[in-house]
Amino acid sequence: MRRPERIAEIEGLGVDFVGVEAQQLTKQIHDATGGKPISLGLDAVGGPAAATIAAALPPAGHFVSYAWLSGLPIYLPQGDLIGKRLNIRGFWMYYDEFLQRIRAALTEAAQVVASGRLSLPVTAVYKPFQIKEAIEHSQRGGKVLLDFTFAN
Amino acid sequence: MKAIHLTAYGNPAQHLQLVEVAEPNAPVMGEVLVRMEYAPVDYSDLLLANGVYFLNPQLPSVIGGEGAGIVEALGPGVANVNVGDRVTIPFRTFTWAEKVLAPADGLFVVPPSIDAKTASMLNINPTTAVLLLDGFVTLKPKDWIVLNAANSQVA
Repeated sequence: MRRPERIAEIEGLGVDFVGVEAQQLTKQIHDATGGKPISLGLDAVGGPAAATIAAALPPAGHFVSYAWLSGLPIYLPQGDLIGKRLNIRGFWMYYDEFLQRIRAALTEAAQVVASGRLSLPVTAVYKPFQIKEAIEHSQRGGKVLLDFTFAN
Repeated sequence: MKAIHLTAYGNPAQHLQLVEVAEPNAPVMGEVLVRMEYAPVDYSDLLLANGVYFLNPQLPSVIGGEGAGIVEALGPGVANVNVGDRVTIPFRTFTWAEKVLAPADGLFVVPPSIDAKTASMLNINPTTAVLLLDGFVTLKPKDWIVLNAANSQVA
């Protein structure tokens, strides 16, 4: 996290440990896992936040980049990349190998949502004529929907 | 009908416009006409509009990477969905319009307990989460993963 005031909210979702980007975060992560290896690291941010993920991974760990919310390239210290032989992969759900698994994954996602175990919060809803406001809101963050039910 | 067009690549707040366009033709073999309900503005939509995504449709174009709506008409040979079903729209069919034509075999019929707004967000964020968790390592209960963007919808 960047903002400590949101830690409690994320912890409330059932996450075992939430930390704020800082010098000591890597140690905090290792303390939280009790030294258990973390086999998968998911980076949606890039920049220095990617280095935190890489530092938390064990030898031969998997680093997967699936978005670049910071707009920055991935910072990956060679001590982690070379020293730990990290497996670095890019993910796009529309790569052929995932495209054929989408229906099964979507079915599973819908089941988890239908069961109530996962909710998908909406931040704001805009009409199509408010597209500029909708985009600007989305750029500030949150999940914005366009409402086509009464198009105007 | 109303649709949202991307008119130029660049800042999406400047180049997305509400336009009046002709309704789609009747669905042909294997196609379905869907009356859209909701479509989210996803991170990937902003990337596409900025011209830095992996899809670059010729402009002007409707964009919008996911959404949900109600099946309004079936083309010949379509048997996997019915008129009136709530469905999500597959990859490569842009969604920011009142009505869209989509290939029937990509449609996902939404369980009745999921509302229209939630349905519109099923295809990308939660499905990405499933694919990320299953696609690279075999995870067992009690295994740890580490991730950032902790308040994102994928997380």
